[in-house]
Amino acid sequence: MTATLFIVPSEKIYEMIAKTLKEDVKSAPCIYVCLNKPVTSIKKDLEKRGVNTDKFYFIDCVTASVSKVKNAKNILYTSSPEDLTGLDIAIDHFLEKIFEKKYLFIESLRTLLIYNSENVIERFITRLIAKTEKLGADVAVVMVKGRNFELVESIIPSFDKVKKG
Amino acid sequence: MLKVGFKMGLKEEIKENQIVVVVTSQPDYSEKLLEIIRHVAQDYKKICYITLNKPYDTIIAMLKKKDVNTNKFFFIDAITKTVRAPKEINQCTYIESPRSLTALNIVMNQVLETANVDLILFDSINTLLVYEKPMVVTKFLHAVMSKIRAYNTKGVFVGQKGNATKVLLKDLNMFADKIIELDEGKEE
Repeated sequence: MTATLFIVPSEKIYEMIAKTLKEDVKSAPCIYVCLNKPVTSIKKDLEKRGVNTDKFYFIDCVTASVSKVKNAKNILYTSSPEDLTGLDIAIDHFLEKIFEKKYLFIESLRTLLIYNSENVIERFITRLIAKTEKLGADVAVVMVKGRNFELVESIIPSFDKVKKG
Repeated sequence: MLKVGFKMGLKEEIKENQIVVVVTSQPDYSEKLLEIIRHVAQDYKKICYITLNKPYDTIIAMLKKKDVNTNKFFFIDAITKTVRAPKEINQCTYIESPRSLTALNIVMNQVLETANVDLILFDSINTLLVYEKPMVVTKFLHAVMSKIRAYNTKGVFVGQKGNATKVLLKDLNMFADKIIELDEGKEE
């Protein structure tokens, strides 16, 4: 199992996400955590960029904070990017539901850091990597370049690979 | 950041993307803003204009002078009440100040739920930075952009180039579909 931290310029974040999903995830089931945009926008954007989302499970941390949500297949909602307990539960739900080799994709570490303190996120990421290793999932976390330097330095040892874009 | 002009690109970018942030240079901000307004007024039927720095009366006078159909606009004015008590009118809702983000949020909700707007024009992201800390502004704009997406409408957020916005734009790159720098001089 591999944990990868991607550090990319903010203007290239979606380009890089689509590239990684196409090249690394390929046809494996992917749990995608939406932190920047609602799942409807993310799904549309990924498909526009040529990513096949048929085997995707989405955790939407955005929509419920701004409007009512409808239950949909393979989508779970948390109340906001601040709700790490909700996110943890949703990740567990999908990790345990999918038995084959799977991929967990955290769209934006920076967004988690806008809503939570660095200490809290540091612990969250460390626990998350340990959990995914135990449950047989690869994990990718995307961070924008040039922000939260100290946090990034402190979590790098938890990852197997760091890729800079 | 993508550089586009008024004649080539801006209209298309707004048409193709749901959330667009447009940054312009500081000296001719008002002039460029007026051009953006003229362009969106040509393509959209119902526009909600959120103004944080110019009073409703001033904007209406400016638009009329440029022959823009003002009937298409509904205003949320966050500046007039900081200087005087305005007269209540149907076309505009006044909130206390640009610092009243909760009130702005509530009025935006009402507009999105009831007014069926095609586009929200936000003027400007810089004014928010004058009144609030960057992190508060980032969270607020993230919420506003997400709301616009949830209601399936469009948003154009206008700002001025500069050090204050540079850092904010790094985060907005993640939340918006496109960040555009207006570079009209070469094409007009």
